[in-house]
Amino acid sequence: MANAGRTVTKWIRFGISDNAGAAREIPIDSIGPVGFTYDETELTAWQDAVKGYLTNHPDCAIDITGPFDNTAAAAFAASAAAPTLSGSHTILSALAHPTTGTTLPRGLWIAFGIRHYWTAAEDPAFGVASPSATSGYVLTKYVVEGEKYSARFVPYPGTVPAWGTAILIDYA
Amino acid sequence: MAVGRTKQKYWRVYANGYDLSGYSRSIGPLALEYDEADLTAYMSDVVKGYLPNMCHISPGTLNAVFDNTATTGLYALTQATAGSSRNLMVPIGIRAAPADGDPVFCGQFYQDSFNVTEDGGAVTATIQYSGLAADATTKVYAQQPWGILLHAKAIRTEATGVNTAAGFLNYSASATTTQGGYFMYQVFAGDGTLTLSVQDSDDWDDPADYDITVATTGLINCAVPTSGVIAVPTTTTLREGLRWQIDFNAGGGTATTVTFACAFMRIYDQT
Repeated sequence: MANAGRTVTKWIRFGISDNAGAAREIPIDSIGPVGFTYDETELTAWQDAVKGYLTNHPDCAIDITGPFDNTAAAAFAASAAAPTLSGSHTILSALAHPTTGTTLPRGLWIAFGIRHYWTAAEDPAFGVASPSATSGYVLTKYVVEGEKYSARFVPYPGTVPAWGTAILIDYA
Repeated sequence: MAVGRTKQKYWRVYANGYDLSGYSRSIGPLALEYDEADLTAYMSDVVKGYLPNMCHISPGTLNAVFDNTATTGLYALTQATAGSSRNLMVPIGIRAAPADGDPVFCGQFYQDSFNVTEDGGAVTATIQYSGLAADATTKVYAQQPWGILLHAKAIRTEATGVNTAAGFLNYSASATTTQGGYFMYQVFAGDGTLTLSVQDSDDWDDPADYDITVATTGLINCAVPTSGVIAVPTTTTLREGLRWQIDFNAGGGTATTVTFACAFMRIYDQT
């Protein structure tokens, strides 16, 4: 039976496509705001009694931090299963963009299990669960300091990340 | 080589053939950051979209204990080199001193400063490094500062001979990558000349299959601390495994012993 209601961070999963397109999960210990933040366009006229606004295009960059880890890449866990972690360094260091090759968007998936392991078609998730050559996120930062790393992902042009309940799949 | 998480006490810092680890407290942040170019088509795109543009790579700041020991002390090794380009290597040991196969951060960076400071009564030094040197050998290739430490700092002798062990699989377990990369070596001590190289393999855990040399140094004078970078062009295909190799005799080599570390930074394809 589906859980509904509140939850805690131990049930959050973070998935990302590796450089070869396979779905992987890496360890995180913080994540920036997840979701859309819209630019505000102020359209107030002097004659207005109250300032007025319209929302413009949203941003939905994702910033994460976590432990540096060089564990070998592992198979992505299924719905309702315990996470299987690949090393953060193993996956992120190989996402440095190639010199002469093509930068391709990657799948990115933040899943919020509701007091249990995240379950497809039931629990919320944000990102691009079905990446393609035209839809996904790109890495723009990988920094290691002490025992931790920080990384940042931004949407590839034309991408429309979304909230949903689907699991991250391999790059198609 | 171990895998998993680690602590900074197992990091090391090598610069131009000198091991600065004995004086170092921390180094970082080890940064790879791209400018984000906003390519949103405002009339048609629903969400803002970006592409990574040029990247900034830097090892950050080395924080160390001030020490004026002659020849090998931090003061002797870094005071006079402020303003100079350095071949920097930062191996990251995994819950132990760095071992063959561990992660490593490398590049050519200018040493922007040597400053003596105070920290709670202790006399310390901070050494700020630049972004990737504009005249770096690796500038064209080095969008990738991260690699694999093929040979952790250790002594090798002519008597023990060549490397007959298997090397290391690339991080994405790709059968090949097609973007080349670069090889960095740090020679700390030795007694003559020799050649270091990197070999690749199509069967990474079979030592017999490391049969193609993909980067070679030429003769290195190991009698003085030295370092270098060998670029492998971006059009080069590298097979799945890489290992270090040594030749004490090629080209009239005269060394019988050498203490060195080396690493290879492979540039990965995106598929």
